[in-house]
Amino acid sequence: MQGTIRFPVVCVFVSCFMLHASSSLRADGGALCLLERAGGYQVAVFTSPTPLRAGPVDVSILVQDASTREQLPGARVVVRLRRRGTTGPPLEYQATTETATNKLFHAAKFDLPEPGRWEVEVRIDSPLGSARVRCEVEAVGPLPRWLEVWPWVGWPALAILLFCVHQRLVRRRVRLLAPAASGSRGEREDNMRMDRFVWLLLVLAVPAVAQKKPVDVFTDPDKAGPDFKTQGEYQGDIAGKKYGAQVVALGDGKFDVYFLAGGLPGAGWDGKTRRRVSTTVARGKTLFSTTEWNGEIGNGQLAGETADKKLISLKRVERKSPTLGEKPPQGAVVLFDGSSADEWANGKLVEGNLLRWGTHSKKGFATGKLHVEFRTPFQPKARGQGRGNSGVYIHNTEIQVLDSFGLTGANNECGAFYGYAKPVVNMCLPPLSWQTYDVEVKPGSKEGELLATVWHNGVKVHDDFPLKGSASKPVSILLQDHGNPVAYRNIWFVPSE
Amino acid sequence: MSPTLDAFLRSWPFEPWLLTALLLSAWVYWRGWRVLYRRDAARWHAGHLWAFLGGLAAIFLALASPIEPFAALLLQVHMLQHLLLSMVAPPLLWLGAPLFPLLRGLPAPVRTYWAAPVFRSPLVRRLFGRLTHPGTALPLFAAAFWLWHVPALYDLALRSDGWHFVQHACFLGTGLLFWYPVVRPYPSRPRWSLWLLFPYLIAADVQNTILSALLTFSSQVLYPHYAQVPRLGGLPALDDQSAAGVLMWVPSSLAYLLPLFGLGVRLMSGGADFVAGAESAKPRGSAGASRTQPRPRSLRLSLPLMTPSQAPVPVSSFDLLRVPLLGRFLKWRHARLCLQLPLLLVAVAVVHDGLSGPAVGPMNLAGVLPWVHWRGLLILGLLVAGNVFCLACPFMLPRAIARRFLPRGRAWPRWLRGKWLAIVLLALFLWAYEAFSLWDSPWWTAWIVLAYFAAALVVDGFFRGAAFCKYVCPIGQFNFVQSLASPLEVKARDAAVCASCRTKDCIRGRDGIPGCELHLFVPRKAGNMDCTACLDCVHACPHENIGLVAAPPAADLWHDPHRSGVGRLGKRPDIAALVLLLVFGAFANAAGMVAPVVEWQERLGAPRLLTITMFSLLALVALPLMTAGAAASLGRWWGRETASLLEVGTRYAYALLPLGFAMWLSHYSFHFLSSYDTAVPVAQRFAADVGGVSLGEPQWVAACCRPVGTWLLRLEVLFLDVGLLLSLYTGYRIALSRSPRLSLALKALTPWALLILLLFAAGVWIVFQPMQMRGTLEG
Repeated sequence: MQGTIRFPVVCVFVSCFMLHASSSLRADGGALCLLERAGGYQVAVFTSPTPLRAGPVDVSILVQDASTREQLPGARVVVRLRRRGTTGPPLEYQATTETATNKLFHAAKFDLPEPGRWEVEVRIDSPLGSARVRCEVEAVGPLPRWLEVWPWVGWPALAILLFCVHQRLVRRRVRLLAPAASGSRGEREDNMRMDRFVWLLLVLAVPAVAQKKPVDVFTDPDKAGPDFKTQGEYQGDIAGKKYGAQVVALGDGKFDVYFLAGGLPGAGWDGKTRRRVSTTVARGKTLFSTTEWNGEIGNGQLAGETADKKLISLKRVERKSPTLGEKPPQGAVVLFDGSSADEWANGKLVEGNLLRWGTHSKKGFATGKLHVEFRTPFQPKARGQGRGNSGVYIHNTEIQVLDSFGLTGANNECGAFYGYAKPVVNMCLPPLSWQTYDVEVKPGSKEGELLATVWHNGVKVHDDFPLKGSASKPVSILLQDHGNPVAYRNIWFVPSE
Repeated sequence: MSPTLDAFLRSWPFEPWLLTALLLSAWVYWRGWRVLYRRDAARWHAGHLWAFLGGLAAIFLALASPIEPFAALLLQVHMLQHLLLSMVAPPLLWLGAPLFPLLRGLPAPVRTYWAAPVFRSPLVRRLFGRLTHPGTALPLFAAAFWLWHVPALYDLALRSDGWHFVQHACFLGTGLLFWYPVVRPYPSRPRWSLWLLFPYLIAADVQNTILSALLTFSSQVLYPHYAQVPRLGGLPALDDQSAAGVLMWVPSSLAYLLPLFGLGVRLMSGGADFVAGAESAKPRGSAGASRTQPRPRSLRLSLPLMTPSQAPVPVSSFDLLRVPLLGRFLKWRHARLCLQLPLLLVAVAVVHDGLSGPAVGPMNLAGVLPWVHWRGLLILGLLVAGNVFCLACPFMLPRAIARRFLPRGRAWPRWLRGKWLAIVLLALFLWAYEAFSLWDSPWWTAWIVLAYFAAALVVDGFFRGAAFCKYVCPIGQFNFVQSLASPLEVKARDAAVCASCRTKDCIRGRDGIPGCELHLFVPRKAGNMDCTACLDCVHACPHENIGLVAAPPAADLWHDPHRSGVGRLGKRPDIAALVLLLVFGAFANAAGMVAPVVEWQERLGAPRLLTITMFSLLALVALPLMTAGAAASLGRWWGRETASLLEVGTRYAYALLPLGFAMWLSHYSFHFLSSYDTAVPVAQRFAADVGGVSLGEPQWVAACCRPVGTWLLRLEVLFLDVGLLLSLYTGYRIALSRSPRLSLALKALTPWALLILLLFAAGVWIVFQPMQMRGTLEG
């Protein structure tokens, strides 16, 4: 390869190399969290970055023989982290010298899931015996994404500045060599303008990238905040007529209220009359107001009056699917009962006894009845497909899982065969409620046709929806990973005779 | 071996930036030194090379060896690190006399166009001369040493990586300034007396002695950090501090006094007038100057290597067709067929699976291969080489067979000879892609592929030449436009050979090899517009005078010569419109998949087809027309252009092309690099379904919306950065070529630069948004 092309090619490879390499976190060092003697050891614990942030972190431990102060490379070191005040299982990582840059240290690199006060426990085992040390660290929120990569966005400004300086030098030299030709007033004005242009470009080259706030995601009702307690389903009377209302949280104390004539979906709603009202907050109260209805939501009640002074009175209800917790019948293949995720490829447990999203069954199934229970998270600030999204795939066709509580029930919302058929009625319950899918798959009348009937929270939402597949060809059941923490439990399949 | 020593020897930090900078520096120096050594081995002896490499090695040892991780635990190791940076690396680097080798080692265009004006600038030289004067260099050097040894600042550097970097930069920078007057690397011409170095070095030694003594004899630990960290081998912090003081004292004093001794010997032996001040005052060619070997006195005169050669610079020295194996393969007459056949098989598989496979896009070859892999590879191919897809285009293969039976004698209608039909088709495709979610519909994808085959067959079966490629094919137009910013182009190697050629086989063809069917006559061809890189001209040329040669990306846009088969780009509003469509299409296509835009479309509440149609009309028609029209009007007015508005808009529209290319690149490479593994389970399923071949159980765990690595975001931003700079530079060159004065050129450029910056900001905003992972299991 000749010189002209070799240089840029080398630069491209070098850039790629650095792009990968520089994204890794540097091990070791950082702030000293603890230095103490425990058992026969002298232990020092460092955390990095400083200040500690949610996201990628490094915990480095220097384990020395307390008497000789020599390093103990053969020691087994385990780091456990638990957010203060929580009772769930701790995060646990093994710290090794391989991970560390400074091989005196044992280091563990991992993602700290959230900010807060964390208890760090280090357990050391070696021929000198076992020891434990503890310290606490405060982790602040992660850096906004754009701040992490700001040099990558901002360097063109520097390049533009250098270019302008370069051009200034070039023109200055031309003027020096041929003063008569280029020393005119117009030329001097040009140079002054170019200086101004440098600054203009500099100011404009730095894009104003707005800081994107992290979207709140809650899987624990106790931590979900006051909005969670307000949102949900309400049932009662408006001017003497039976009504249901679905209060959908939008974050920051805002809600959309959908009034449904006749009652809640699947429980009296006429399927047509649906009225949306947005709430406002005044004097700490959540109020709704239209030309006909005014009222307030709070303390488990949605109360107010109509324009002609008739009463609006609805109470918060928590509906449960009639098939929730249904025991697997005889002959059922139990895919998940909370004890282990062995039936799932790379299956993982979350919160102790729930199945993590993003896995598929090791066994395949053709025809029969599937029962799945799922729980969407509370993401008040998320919208559309970014709100509690997952999916149950049966015969490679997705039955959408989504927090579409209160929405119309389109063909990409909860209960839909994604992209193909919307549910007869949107039976989606509020987030953090356990919901059920019961799916019956049977052979169709035509060769190679399968028909699926789906019950969402006990209500039939699809009847004999045609699937592509074969009654003789078992296919895995897949629980989609859409990046949202949707949990599953009590999954079983009863194969047809 | 003690465990601590063993750990020390194994603790090598990985510093890619530093390593890269050092290797690049060494490589550039070596390239230049090799050339200079061949010219004058006596002056450029190997000592220079080893000294320079030794300086780089000292920096490497200081920052990327076990010294770096241990510096935070032991003050003496930290001291060693600082000494390497300030006392060892700088004199070694200067002993390598790096100026000429580094300049000569740079590629010629970089050296003559970019570096030379800086080094020749009197301003820069005056500034450098003042900084390296003993009266400035010593205070700066001493100040850096004393300031960074203030406990508060030292601890700050230990706490913060950023400040630690600044500290190291200070030591290295002031070290370079300090040692420059002592070493006086060629071709420096100090104007002060060499006797000045005596107080210079003695003063440096005195201040060093005082600071070292403070550290050595202090009764308390000066830097709290070292009192807190665990002590290695039981060494007390105070002893560590004393050892650091001694280390600073003895080797540093030696470093100051040894040159002083050498200088004294030289001056005593009568070499006083060898030095500078007196010598530089003498007229050139005087006796004084000839006492040592003659050397050039003026930087300007001594830098012929920075002066552009009078001989015409070859367009490029790299030719892909001269690369062993690959070049030979490409020159083989059936090379194209070999590339087309595998793609044809893939196309057949895509069609078959699209029509008969699962309807879920991510589980179907037609939902994955075209929309994730083909698009990604196509754009990456355009980035690293050129129009590689057209070279291997499978749609041409059945056409070539059918042409034997179809009457292809008609001429393409004159009124369709432009890009307008292709623009309409391309706009329709971009609209349909969003409106019908083509990426999610294997069935539609299969039919599009089939329609492509049919259209190529019909058009080229009835019309002469490559009418389908030149006037109809939307993919071809995309490739033609983007390849204007590609690094390779089909070009004549030697214009003289073409001038003497009488047969013109490259356009007429010979021995059954067709000439250029797109009517591009190679001697007058410029750039890649309308070139399918089919290499027919390469095969037809009897003189083997056509190559696939390198050219600076987007350089074709800086000038506007008459191009064979195309004309002047500035006179082709249809091509400019195509460029605008593809630039704005890049942003619209990427924006259509980010959450805020999708949510905004949903919030409108209108039927999706209507929303997408309105969005497409706005993004693909209204916005390009309005923004480019406004920029052209303002630029024409401010820049006092006399040409028509259409002509101004047409010419400047090409400046947007590199940024548009960058947006396509960011978008498609994102999908490809984040989802390339989606092909594996689909291929496993396809093999089992169609051939009954088991390639393993498909792992369908969806990749959708997995957090994408920061490196990928950086890569996307990097593409946009480069696109922005290239677009701005292209606009600058276009403006300079159209205006007699710089101020007018800048005025004419300003609205276009603003448009480019706006598009760049939009692009950065888009890549920061959560994106739909199309081609992966979604929903």
